[in-house]
Amino acid sequence: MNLSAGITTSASFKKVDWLASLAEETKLYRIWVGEDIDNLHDIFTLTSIFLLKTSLTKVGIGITSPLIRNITTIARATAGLMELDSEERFTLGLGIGGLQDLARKGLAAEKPLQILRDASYLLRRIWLGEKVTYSGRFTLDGYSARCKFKIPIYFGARGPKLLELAGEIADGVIISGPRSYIEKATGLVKKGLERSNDPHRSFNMVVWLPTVLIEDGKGMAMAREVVSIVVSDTPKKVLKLSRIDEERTQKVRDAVSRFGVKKASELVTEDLIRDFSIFGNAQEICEDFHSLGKFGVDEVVFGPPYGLDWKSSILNVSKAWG
Amino acid sequence: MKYGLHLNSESKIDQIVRKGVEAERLGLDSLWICDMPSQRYGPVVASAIASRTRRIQIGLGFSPFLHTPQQIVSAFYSLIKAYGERFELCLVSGDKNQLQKVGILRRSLKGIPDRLIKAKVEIERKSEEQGLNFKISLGAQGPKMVRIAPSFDGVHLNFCSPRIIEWAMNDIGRIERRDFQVGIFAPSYVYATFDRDMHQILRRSSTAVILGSSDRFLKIFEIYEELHRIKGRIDSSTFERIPQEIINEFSISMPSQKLKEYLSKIATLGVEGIVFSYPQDYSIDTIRDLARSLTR
Repeated sequence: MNLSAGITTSASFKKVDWLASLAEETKLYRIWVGEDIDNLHDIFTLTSIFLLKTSLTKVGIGITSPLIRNITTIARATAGLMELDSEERFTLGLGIGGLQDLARKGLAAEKPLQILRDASYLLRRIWLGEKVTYSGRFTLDGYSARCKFKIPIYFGARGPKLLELAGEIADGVIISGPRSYIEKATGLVKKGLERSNDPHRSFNMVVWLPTVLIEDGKGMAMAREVVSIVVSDTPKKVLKLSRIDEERTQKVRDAVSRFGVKKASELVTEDLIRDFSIFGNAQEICEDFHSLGKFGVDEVVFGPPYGLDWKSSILNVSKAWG
Repeated sequence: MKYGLHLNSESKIDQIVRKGVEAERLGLDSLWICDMPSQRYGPVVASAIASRTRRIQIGLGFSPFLHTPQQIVSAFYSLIKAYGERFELCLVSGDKNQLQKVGILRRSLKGIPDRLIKAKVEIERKSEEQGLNFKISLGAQGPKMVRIAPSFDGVHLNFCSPRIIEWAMNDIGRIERRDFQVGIFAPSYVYATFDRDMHQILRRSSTAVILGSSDRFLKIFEIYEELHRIKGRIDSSTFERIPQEIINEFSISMPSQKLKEYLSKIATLGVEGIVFSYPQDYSIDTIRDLARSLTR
């Protein structure tokens, strides 16, 4: 199993620079760059900075939504990222996007399966250098990017149908959600993989959960805050499949929408933190990550908020990983 | 006078970067990347160039019909944080044919001048909120666009003959702001030794600019009638049928020794910068020819 680090477009450049400069020293397998929609960095430019500042570490977008910009911009930008180094270290993660973020932009995420199916189909045709005409959610009229690339597409998925679709047509999957859901989620991906045209193809299963390093008992407040955000953004269907008592999560969801994250975090119990994040000292975090291997997980992401001291948290966890 | 080079992003990124590095070594002031739907994504190309250069200014052309103001600001945020304050934005309406190919219909492109001003204001506001500092200029050709130029920090005119520049300067009017700059952005072929193939590429490139011109603009300069006949039958040989004198209104084609004279002439009209566009960046040699011409 591989250990990767996650960062998002809302991260300060100080964090970006530090992570890029230490990625190879800490032997991180990959840096995943997630998009916090309309927040600070451009996802493609930020990803280019990681690719240009490293030479061995893989770099992936995990994830961007095809709903927030023209599909051809994603095609061109990712082709450019693939071109930045000869080792082909780049991977594109596609997902629908945070439901609250999309709603804020007035975007509807109806038929998410169709959206990701169409987006990946179109991107692959554009990368093959084809002249593409298409109408539907995405409209193209004899478009060609004059390029020739094969870029792995991973789906960022939580819902059961999307997880199966990832197994069916993607090159990998980035799973997030409650810990008790991971077993179920990986099972759904495997089901899709078995049903696909090429069930024996190379396929990577990645799990990205919020991670908080607790040192001398400090860091629990941070864990509570991040869990209240995750709880409020997790689809009810996923909560149900995770067999998490709805009453416990509903209180937090209501509080987030009424009073904000800080106040809501006071309602987050240790059980909920255990359900929705990885936390503990460096050794415990690594053990928890490794325990996901039994479900067929190939890669785990040490993602924000990391811990009270983000630098030492990343260093300690990567050191404990060995 | 400031000298810039437009790098065509249809080439592979490593080739574009090599040209950019050479342009900096030769002492040019700026490099320009235009984010067009058929070419590589501008900010990624700019990032690659910036990572290998130290001082040269990097300009990015963006159409707000393809990217939201927030997306443009985000790209500048990442570039400036990583490589310092050496980036400039040029807002352009974008090529209507290319926009149509990516699903942006012509009917959605109404009120272009107003929408460009609105985008500029929003980009300026958002970038100020982020503490970013970069110039926002306008790419302009027709009378409506030239007239809104004073709302920007500068303008890049998409023609180069002194008579049209003079018309534009009159139309823009007197601008008191000292930081407002008028520049030229035109297909160019400045050569030490004439090469017919290069000249043909220049003609093709100019033809694309000319065919994108508004009828109103062409009428002002009495080239509408002639072009109207040609526009009615566009095919792969169109560029051969456009008279050289019309090509000369929109592109710079001259031997090295003539360049200084031309630059002096447009400087007297108030032009303070020039970006030599494709095919001047065709090869390292054509870039060197340009640099030698500028230092004569």
